Amino acid sequence: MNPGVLFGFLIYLILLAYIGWWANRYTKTEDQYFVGGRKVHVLAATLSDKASDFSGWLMLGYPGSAFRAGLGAFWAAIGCLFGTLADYVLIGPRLRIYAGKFRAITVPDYLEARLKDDTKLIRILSALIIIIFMTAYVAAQFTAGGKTFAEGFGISDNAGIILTVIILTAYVITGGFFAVVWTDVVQAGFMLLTLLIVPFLALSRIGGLEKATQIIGSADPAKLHPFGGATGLAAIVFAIGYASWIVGYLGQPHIVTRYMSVEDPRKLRRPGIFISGTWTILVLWGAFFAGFLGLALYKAGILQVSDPEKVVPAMAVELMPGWLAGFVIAGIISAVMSTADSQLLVASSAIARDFYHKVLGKELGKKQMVNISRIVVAGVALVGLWFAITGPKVIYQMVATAWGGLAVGFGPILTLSLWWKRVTKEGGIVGMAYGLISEVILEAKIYGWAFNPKAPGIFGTIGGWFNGVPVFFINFFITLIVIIIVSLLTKPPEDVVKLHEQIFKKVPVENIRSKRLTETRAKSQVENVADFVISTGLI
Amino acid sequence: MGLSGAAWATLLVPTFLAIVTMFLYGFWDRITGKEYYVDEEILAYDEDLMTTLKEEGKL
Repeated sequence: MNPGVLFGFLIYLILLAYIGWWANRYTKTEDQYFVGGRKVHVLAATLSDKASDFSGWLMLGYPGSAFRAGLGAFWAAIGCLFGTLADYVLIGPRLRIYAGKFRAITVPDYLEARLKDDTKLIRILSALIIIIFMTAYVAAQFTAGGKTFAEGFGISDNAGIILTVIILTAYVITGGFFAVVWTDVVQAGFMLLTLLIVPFLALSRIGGLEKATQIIGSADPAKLHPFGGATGLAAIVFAIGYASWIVGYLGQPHIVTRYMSVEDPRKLRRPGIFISGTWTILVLWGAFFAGFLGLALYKAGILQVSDPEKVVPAMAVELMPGWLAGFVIAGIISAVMSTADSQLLVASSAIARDFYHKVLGKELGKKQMVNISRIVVAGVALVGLWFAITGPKVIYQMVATAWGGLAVGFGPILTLSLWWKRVTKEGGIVGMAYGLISEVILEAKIYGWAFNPKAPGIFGTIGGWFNGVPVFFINFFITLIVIIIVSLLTKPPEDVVKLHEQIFKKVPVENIRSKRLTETRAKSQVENVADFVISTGLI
Repeated sequence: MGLSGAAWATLLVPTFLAIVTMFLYGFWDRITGKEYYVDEEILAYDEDLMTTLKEEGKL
């Protein structure tokens, strides 16, 4: 084991421990544990949103994909970038407005209130979708952590997985949402630095981009082609296969919960989208070029890579002094931790709050609910650990499977509920049930994460048409149509429609600027209503 | 050798479009002169937390 790598990594651990201790002072109720009391600074919420989104997939899975496929893999970056922007345009501000109105802490809270579901079916379906797919997602993060520790410290993948679980579970249990958000901010910084430093070092080692492309082109020209050498319809299917991540953004509970926590929905527009968008562009370019240039280093015989998904830690250990490599390993572990912590928290909220508290109706003190949540975090972590150790250990594939289940389960209903007043609880229930069952069957029994012609019977024919396209991409649109059809066949309550029409009314910007928050708080409800009536021109 | 024109277009055109989208959405309230109405009920934060922090002298 390299002592320099260990030193750099230990500094990072001390920083995490300090944040966990600091945040623990602010975590006393369930509300604070899960959404930080809905008072999270926009900078923290937006950076945390991206750190939670870009997981071990960004630092290991995606560079591994660029290493294997070359330039064509950039379509995945395009999908993720526009997915991020779509979250801000379609989901963020509207979800935060509704969350404030309904006092919603979790996505199931919001859906139940928005669709006025008194059957509890939406909450049960949501909890099931979260528990199944989020646990699988957490397992992918544990695998990524394990691979990084294995490459950085020369231990086995399984020992690395166990180490990841111990560090992560400790600080999520200690700190809850505040700890998760603020460690995410630090981790977003680590990830950005890593993905800026590694490609530049690789570039200087190989002798420039021209030399790198020459090496890759002479080994396999298709890796310099935007569509991997495909043309016509095959090229379109190729691009969709990679860019399909875009639709998944609309339904990831661990990402959209960040929008529910932000202090003011209008700040998601500015500076929110600029912070997230800029950070996303930088890290995606960095991750792509890390894998692409890693391939050139490998082909030139400069770098030994045992597994394409270990290309970034291998580059760090090969190209950097020990202590700096330690920081890079910390950067990768940051990405893993910052996603897994949010996912653990969301999975825990699905069981502790949505199921135990709301469905079973168990009324406990706020402190007791926080403690139950902590026990659930430990339980989910153990199941994730089992999946990670016994699973396929291919991060890109593991993440795509879990991402797909959440995308189909939540994406269509979340988007429609925020933009269409006519969506009904029946539409939501049927759509979510279809999404859950179809994703489990198609991914676990028929295709795996992507369509392929090897599936039996008619599924093989369909698999041939969409070969390589993730199952969730097509299934997302089918679920969307199912919800629309069922909603059109049923009728939403009038008060729900009326609220939807009123809540997203826009007012002239001048009226907002002239009224500060402190001023608003000092006024009575009657005065606020009067202000609203005047500002919207109703009288 | 270097990257081809098509390869550079794949890298740069979507990135440029994303930046344009960011600016359009980010300043949409200025462009249209309107923004979502947000009242105290929506902005309200966790009162319990603030009370606890005040009692503990942390605010």
